[in-house]
This record gives sequence, structure tokens and C-alpha cells, in this order.
Amino acid sequence: MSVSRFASLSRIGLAVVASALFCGTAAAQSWPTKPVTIVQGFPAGSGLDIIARIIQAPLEKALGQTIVFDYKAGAGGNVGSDFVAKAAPDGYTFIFGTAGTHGINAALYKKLSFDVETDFTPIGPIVDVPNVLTVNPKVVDAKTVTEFIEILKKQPGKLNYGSSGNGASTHLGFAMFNSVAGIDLVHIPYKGSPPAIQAMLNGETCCQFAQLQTVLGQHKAGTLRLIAMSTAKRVPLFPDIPTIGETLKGFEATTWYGMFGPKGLDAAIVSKFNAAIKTVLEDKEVVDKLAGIGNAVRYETPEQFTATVKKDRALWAGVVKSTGATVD
Amino acid sequence: MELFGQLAFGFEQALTPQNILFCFIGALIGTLVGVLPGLGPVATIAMLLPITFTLPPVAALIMLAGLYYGAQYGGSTTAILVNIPGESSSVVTCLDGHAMARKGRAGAALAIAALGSFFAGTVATFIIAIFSAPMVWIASTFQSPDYFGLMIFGLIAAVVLAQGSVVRSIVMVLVGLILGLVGTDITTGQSRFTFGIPQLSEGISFVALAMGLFGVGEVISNLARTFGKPEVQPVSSLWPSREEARRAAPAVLRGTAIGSILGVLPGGGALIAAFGAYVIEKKWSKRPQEFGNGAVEGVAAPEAANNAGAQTSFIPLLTLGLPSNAVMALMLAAMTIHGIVPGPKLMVERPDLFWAMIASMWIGNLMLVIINLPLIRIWVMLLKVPYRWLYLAILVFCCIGAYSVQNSTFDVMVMAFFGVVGYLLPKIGCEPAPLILGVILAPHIEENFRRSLVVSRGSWWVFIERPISAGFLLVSLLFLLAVLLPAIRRGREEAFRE
Repeated sequence: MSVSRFASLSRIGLAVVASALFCGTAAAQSWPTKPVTIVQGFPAGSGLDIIARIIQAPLEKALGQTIVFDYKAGAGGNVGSDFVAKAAPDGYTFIFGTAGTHGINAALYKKLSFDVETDFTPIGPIVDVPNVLTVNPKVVDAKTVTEFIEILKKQPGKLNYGSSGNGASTHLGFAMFNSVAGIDLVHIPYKGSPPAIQAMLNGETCCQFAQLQTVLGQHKAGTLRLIAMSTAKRVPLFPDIPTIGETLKGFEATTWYGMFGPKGLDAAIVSKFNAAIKTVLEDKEVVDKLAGIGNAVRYETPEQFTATVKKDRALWAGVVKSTGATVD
Repeated sequence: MELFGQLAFGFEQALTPQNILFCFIGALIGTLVGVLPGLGPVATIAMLLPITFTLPPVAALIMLAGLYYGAQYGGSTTAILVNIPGESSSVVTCLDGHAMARKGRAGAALAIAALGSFFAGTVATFIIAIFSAPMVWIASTFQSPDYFGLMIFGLIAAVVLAQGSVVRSIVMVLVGLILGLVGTDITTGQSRFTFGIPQLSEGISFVALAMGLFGVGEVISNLARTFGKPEVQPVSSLWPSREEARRAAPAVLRGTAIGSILGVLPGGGALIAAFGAYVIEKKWSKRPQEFGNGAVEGVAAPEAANNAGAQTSFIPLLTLGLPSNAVMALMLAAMTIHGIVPGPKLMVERPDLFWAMIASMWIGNLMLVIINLPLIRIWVMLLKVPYRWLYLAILVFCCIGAYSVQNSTFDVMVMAFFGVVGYLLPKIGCEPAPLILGVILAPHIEENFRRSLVVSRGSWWVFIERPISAGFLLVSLLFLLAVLLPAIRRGREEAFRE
């Protein structure tokens, strides 16, 4: 509390001085002059955190400042979003959001204390995180999307699919797949991805949309089979694994991770941060590290990213509506 | 014989000067983190993670692992000395450990905790080396109905855990169950008992609740009772007597066995293991009335269980790539960032890493016992610090601890609230232990119960058809009868007397 009050007081002070000197962007020009806090709406060690840690050092180098990660977990990332939505737009508080926190949640939660579009300043995306259609071959011995659909059409309502939680992209993506493919499976939500994958291994569920990096180990051992990607294009790490869209035309359920600031952020800071992100995403070592766990870097300008957020919010709102998923 | 070859290979990897150094650093930081109430391994590992990126992966993981079980050792220290669980898994140690300290046996309790942990750690190391494969099989055959059976067994045990009135402890368990259900329902996504507070959407912070009930509650009642002079008897001897050692030894064995098995299961295995070990000691003890008043077994068994459990919780991570708790999730993150893919192939692809980690566990345990035994003398001196200064430090550390779990000031308020509750409960003759167990078990019981029914499409037979769940439910029933029958008979006798 006192910190943010101090921050807003100093902001008022700064504004007074700045308007007196007629140089409104002086602070923005020299930004950043102190460590930058990036909030994550999930606990340390999450899939998001892994990406954050990979880009941390190069981003610090590009910005010339230390980055501090602040984990404010809870309510599917909304606790963190709420914190940043109400933070001072001084360029020292950002949030590493996802297609979930800044897209799905807007449709999923009936009451949110903030708006994912108007209360944030989009900076830029970082990576596309593919969800992959994964099966336990002992339960459903399918090798392609077509085979998978065929097998499941023979036993409607019999088998279960898992997810990392109600309203997670792993849930909604599969629900979308269900309706597009015309198959009937029962949804079983788990608390996070490890128990969901464990359930798929012991046969409680037959299959699920899994974030690629969470099933790499099982894929290598042959205990789980990766059938198809939910992304628009094939994933460089697995050029042999097709996309679902190659079988079901137009199917895509990509999720991204990206950076946002609070609303009213100075345009100079936005473009400076975006440029720093661009430098990081062009770093071959970063690209390789991210690709090694199945993620593709994604660069967009702040304007493009604003449009992406708008588009995806509408897309997921449609999915949420058609599946009837809701979280209070 | 292959095993010895592999272990020797592991020791070869782990005994390089660099790896020994990082193992020691990890164990030392872990001890410190464990001793400071609330400041847990999760927050510390999250802070240290960037440093590990510049280290070779084996050294980095050895350090983080050392930190984790170091915290298990250190966590018992504050539990015994000032009744504050330094780590959530040492909640149980508070019960008898602190009672021993009050009787002037703080040194003995600390020594038994350290030696018991060392023994358990040694055994668990070999269990990981030998039984990883069958242990994974246990974890991967457990489906929702089986978890439900296990949790019900735990719940029944909670009633047995009660010291005083059975009715009161059932009430406490029920209150605990309700508190444990606060938050978002996994199955439907509805939020319950949250009063629209987003910080409650993932449930009440367990660390805040446990530190409030035990730690802050204890501080308040000490201040109220004695104006800051708790009745601690002078420390008689720093070492366990022969009698104490004789009673502790079998308890350590049983605790190790329970901890090793339950540690493999996801969702706070070490904590449930500590509770389980305590209950079993009490049930089979010839002197159940001593439990809660400083029974040696009540320190030895749960301490052995939580250390064994902490170590076997590495099994799902190393062999399936699935983290079973928050610390393991961070270990997974560290591995992933280093380009290591944990999973069934890890043992084949990176035998150096796999066996070095296992060997380092034993080395780490040895270091911890060497660090901890001489420290006992210093810790016990802490009891001589006037309480009016000590309690301030305790409260400050509790606040830092409660805050650091989720960086949330709300959790500090939660701790303060449960501090008052923890002060008031004994006044009305209720105990916090069954309540805590209710809080731990409630989400697991509900989640697995409802999931079982969804999977079975509504058939209740699912709990009896699966042998594992049927077994647990049967044992629970026998347990319940064993407790209730004498109580009923006694009730009748009293009725007749009147």
C-alpha cells in the first residue's frame, strides 16, 4: 500500500515538475533508471515462469536494468492482473500475461475488477505456446487426427479428456476440438498439469490438450503419443507432427505469453520496451532455448499486439459461450 | 551388483570439490530457511533460481535439493523451541516437540529430530536408488477413487489424533474441512466461501493458517499467561537419555517407512506422512496419554517421516517428470531451463545427473546432521533470551514468512486472524491439530470423490470395485470401530453407574 501511495505521490510531484519544465517525456527518455518489476499471475516454477526465466538475463541486458519477478498467484492469474491494472503507469510495474489471463478470463469470469483491454497497455507478445493433442496409446491407439476421431465416434460419451483446470486453454481448446470434430468426451479438470498428465498415464483420461513442454519426457519414453498441434503452423521442434488444422480446416487454438503495462503508459516507454523485447527475440540463443521446449518466439509491434488481444478475446469468448464453461 | 556400480558412479559425480561445495551451501541455506519460521524453500529457491543458471546443471540441482531437505531439518528447530512450525511439514513436531522443550528436554528433542531425520534420509536415498521403478508404479496406479480411500483413511486418523473429547475433535475436523474447501471448486469452477475476495480464490494459505494457529496463538497465550515469562524448565541435558533413545528408535523406523511411501504421492506427501506417522505411534503406543505432553515417539516418528517423504517426493519428478509439490515444480523449472527433460528417459539419457543427485542426497544428509548437532547447544541458549524480546523477533519472522509464500499482505492478515483463533481454541478445550488435518485433507477428499463419480458416470460402486480404494476404506472402517467401540462401552458403563 504505502509503496504504491509513495509511487503515486512521487508521480504527482514529477508531473508538477515536468509540466513546469515543459518536458513531459523526460522521465520516459531516461527510462529505466531503477529495477523493473514484472508481475506473474502464477506461482514460481510455472510454465510461464520457465519462459520468464529464459528471457530474464537477455532482457535485463537489453533494458540495462535488473528485472524483479513478483509472483501474485490466484484466481487464474486475475490477482496479478488486478494488481497491475491498478498500478502506477510509471514504467516500473508490468505483467507477463497470457492468452488466458488477457483473453479467456475476460469471458470466463463473470465479475472482474478490471478490463483486460482498457486497463492495460499491451507491449508485445513473447512466445506462442502450442497445445498438443496427446493420447495414452494404451487407451486410444490412434496415430492421426482422423484415426482418433474415428475411434471416438464409435464410443460416444465413454471416454474422458483431462485438462489443467476449468477454463484453462487446455480445457477450452479440447472443447472446441470436440465440437468441430463432432465427438463426445467427458471433461475432467485437474489442479494443474502434473496431475492431469498423471491421470492420462494411468488411464483415468484417454487424452488431452497438453502444453508441449509438459509432455516432452513422456513422448520420448513412448508412454504418451503426440498426435497433432493446435497451432496454425507446424512446430519447428517436431516438423513431422502435423497440425490439427491440416485435418480439420481452420482449426487453431494457439495461446501466447506477452507483456503488458498498466493503462496510460507513456508511448516512449512502450516503444522502448518493445524494442528491447525485439532484441531479445532475435537473440539466437534465446530462440533455440525456447524452441528446445517447443515454443516459437513471436514478435509484434504494440499496435499489432493490441489487435491480437482484441481478436483472441473475441475468439475465446465464443468458445466459452459455446462450451458453457464458467468460473465465478 | 549393478546398483552398487551405479551408486559408486553417482558418488564419483557428486564428490567433486565443486559439487560438495554446492551441496554444503544448499544444506546450510536450507537449515537457515528451515529455522526462520515461514520463510520456506519455495520462496528461497525462486530467489536463487537465476544464480543456478550460470552453474553446471548437476551442481545447481544438487544445491537446490540440499536446500529442500535442509529446510526439513531446520523446520523442526523452531517447532520444538517456540512451538512455531518453521516448515509446514513440521506442524506435527510442534505437538510433542515443544512439550518436551517445556519439560527441559529441548536438547534431546532436537537431537532425536536430527538423528531421526538422518536415518530416514539415508534409508530414503537407498529406496530411491533401488525402488524408483516400483514406487512409480504405485503412484501411477493410483486413480481418483484410490486417493479418496487414502484421504478418508487420513480423516479417520484425525479423530484418533484427538487427545481429549472425541466430539470436540470431530467438530474441529469438520471446521477444518470447511476451511479447506474455501476457494475455487476444481470440478465446476465455482468459488465458495470466498466472500468475493480474490486472494481466497486458491484457498486459505496453509502456511499462514498453520503459523497463526500454532505460532502466533502460542505467542499470545504466553504473553497473556506469564507477561512474557513462559514456564520453561531449565535444560537438563543436551542429549537423549538411554530410555529416550530406546523409545525413539522403533518410532524412527516406522516413520521412515510411512514417509517413504506417502512421499511419492502427489499433493504434500511429506506433510500427510508426518501426520500419519504420528497417529500410528499414538495408536500403537503403550502410553498414549503421554502424546501431546512430550512423548519422544511423537517427535521421532513424524520427523523421520517428513524427511523420508521429502526425499522420495523426488521420485515422481526424476522418473515421470511430474512434480508432486511446489518445490518439485521449481526443480522441474530449473531442469527445463538447463535443457534437461525430466521423464522416464532421464535415467538413461542423463545417468550422471540422476545418480549424482541420489548420491548427493546422502552426502547432504550427512552434512546436515554435522551442521545440526553442534547447533543444538546454540539453539537451546535461545531459550534463555527473555521472552519479551524473543516474541518480537518471532512475530516479525512469522509476518515475513506468511507474506513470502504468495507475496500477499492479505496472508499476513489471515495469519493474525488465525493467531487469535489459535489462542482461543485451547480456552474452550479444542485442539488445533485435527483442524489442521481437516484443512489439508478437505480439498483432496472432495476433489477425488467428485472426480471418481464423474469418471464412473455416477456409480458409487467405483470405490469398492478398485482394490486399493476398497482396502483403504475397509481399514478406515476398522479404525473407526476400534476407536468408537471402547468409547461406546465406556459411555454405557457411565450410564449404568448413574
